[in-house]
Amino acid sequence: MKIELFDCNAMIGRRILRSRLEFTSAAELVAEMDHLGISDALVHHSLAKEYSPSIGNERLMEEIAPHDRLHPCWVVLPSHTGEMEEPRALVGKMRDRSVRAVSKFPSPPVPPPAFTLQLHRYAMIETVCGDLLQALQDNRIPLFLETQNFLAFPLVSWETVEWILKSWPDLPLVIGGIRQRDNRTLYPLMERFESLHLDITLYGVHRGLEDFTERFGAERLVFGTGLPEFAGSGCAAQLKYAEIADADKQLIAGGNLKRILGGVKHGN
Amino acid sequence: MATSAESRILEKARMGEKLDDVFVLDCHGHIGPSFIHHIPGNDKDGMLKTMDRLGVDVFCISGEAGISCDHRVGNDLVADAVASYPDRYIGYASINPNHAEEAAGELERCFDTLGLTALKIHPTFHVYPASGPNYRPVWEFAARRGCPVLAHTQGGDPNAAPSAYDGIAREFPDVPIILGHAGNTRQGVEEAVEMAGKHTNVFLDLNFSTFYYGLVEDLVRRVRIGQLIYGSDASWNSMSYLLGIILYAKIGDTEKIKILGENAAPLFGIKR
Repeated sequence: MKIELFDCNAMIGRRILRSRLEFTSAAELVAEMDHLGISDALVHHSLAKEYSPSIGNERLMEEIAPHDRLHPCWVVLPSHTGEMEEPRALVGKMRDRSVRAVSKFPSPPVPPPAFTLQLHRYAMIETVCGDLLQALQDNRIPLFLETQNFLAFPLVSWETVEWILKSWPDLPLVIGGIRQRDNRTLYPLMERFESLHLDITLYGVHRGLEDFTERFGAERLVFGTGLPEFAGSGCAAQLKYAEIADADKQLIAGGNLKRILGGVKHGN
Repeated sequence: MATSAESRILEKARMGEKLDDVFVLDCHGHIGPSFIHHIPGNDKDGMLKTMDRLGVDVFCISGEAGISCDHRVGNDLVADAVASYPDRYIGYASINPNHAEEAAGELERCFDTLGLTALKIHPTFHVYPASGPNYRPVWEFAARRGCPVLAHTQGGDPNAAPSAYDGIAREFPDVPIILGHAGNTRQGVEEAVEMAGKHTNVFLDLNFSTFYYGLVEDLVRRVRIGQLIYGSDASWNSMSYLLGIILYAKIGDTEKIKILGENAAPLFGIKR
């Protein structure tokens, strides 16, 4: 069966760390997407994550402009230091430039083993992030949160995930970094909060897609690759070989992401 | 590098088609529940269903309990799977080195009574060095019986880093040592490549570390092709996920066929 893949988790630019054969440019990403049979990708820039969100977001727009299959995901900060517009202005700017998704990289919940894993070093608490999360919810702009790194170091606590879900129930939240060890926490959250979605980039769970869809349906799983840090091919194969209905595969492959991005209001 | 037009294996992956014309041996698997996480379909029938969907011919498995607290429980579960599907499962015997007084007898039981034919150790889980005296019965048994040892590796863990197997590989040159996960971390991969270069009896199991972009292609360039073998770590990980990384790799079908099964078959006594 041929399914149309829309990747929710790709990056361009030079990263701090690098695999030996890793690529950096938008053109190379598109070539890799062709190899994997991916039609479209939601992309953020390494400069936005690992340098300056505002500079990186601008660079992203320049570099993906020639590629209509690449769609921007901005990395955002709280506005209080003046490094980023206040939330209403930010949302207006996103509307003007057709940006329909954001990522945030707050402080990890415990001291990280490496300096760079401090990420953007702000607390994910009401005083710091409440106005931004409210603006995102008002406009139904999906928030992508990487909750763990590849080696399962926590980047966003489960308590914070639950706090967001409880406080902003209409904010589409897509959590990533989830691997095979988290079902005991993931499942009850999925059961309780309909706004929670899972980016399956690293969700390499034996019969995991089958088990998840049987319990919760396929509407809250979103295909991702993690390119260029991760191969992406494993996630594609897992989905293609999953023993679930073809219609469910297509939802996970791209239908759900299109629905989420199509739900952005951009006007509140 | 193979293009998509050249690779019928890639085309099968793109279409989600079963690999029914390639021999596939998965060298790294586990059966049974895990204390660390929930694993759907972790029994012999659940895993067989996935093997059949993908076209995996043979799956080499150890018991979850064997790499955690109770090797007898784990080995018995493996034996049950092998007895039920003798053409599809190959059984690893495991021992817990912290119960070392049982090791020699348990290995004899596994091979002579239960029908297991290979060995698996997990120095990270058992918090015990691969080269420590409590693992001596394993290495000596493998040398006597001429069977492979699947050894968990973990870069940065002195008990299980690939370099921890350097002396063992030299002392037991006739024992095939499969470095599980090929080092597991970036640092570990570099050590695993070094070990494979030094020892022809060292093989790299391409799972987990291969989540990283381009790693399969990089290893094919840097390691003798005959020392690279496919493993998934299912049911800990997804068999299809790890298989897909090999199927989509930008290498030739000839290399893929070797990695997917041809290289490992003789280690497990399978004639092709």
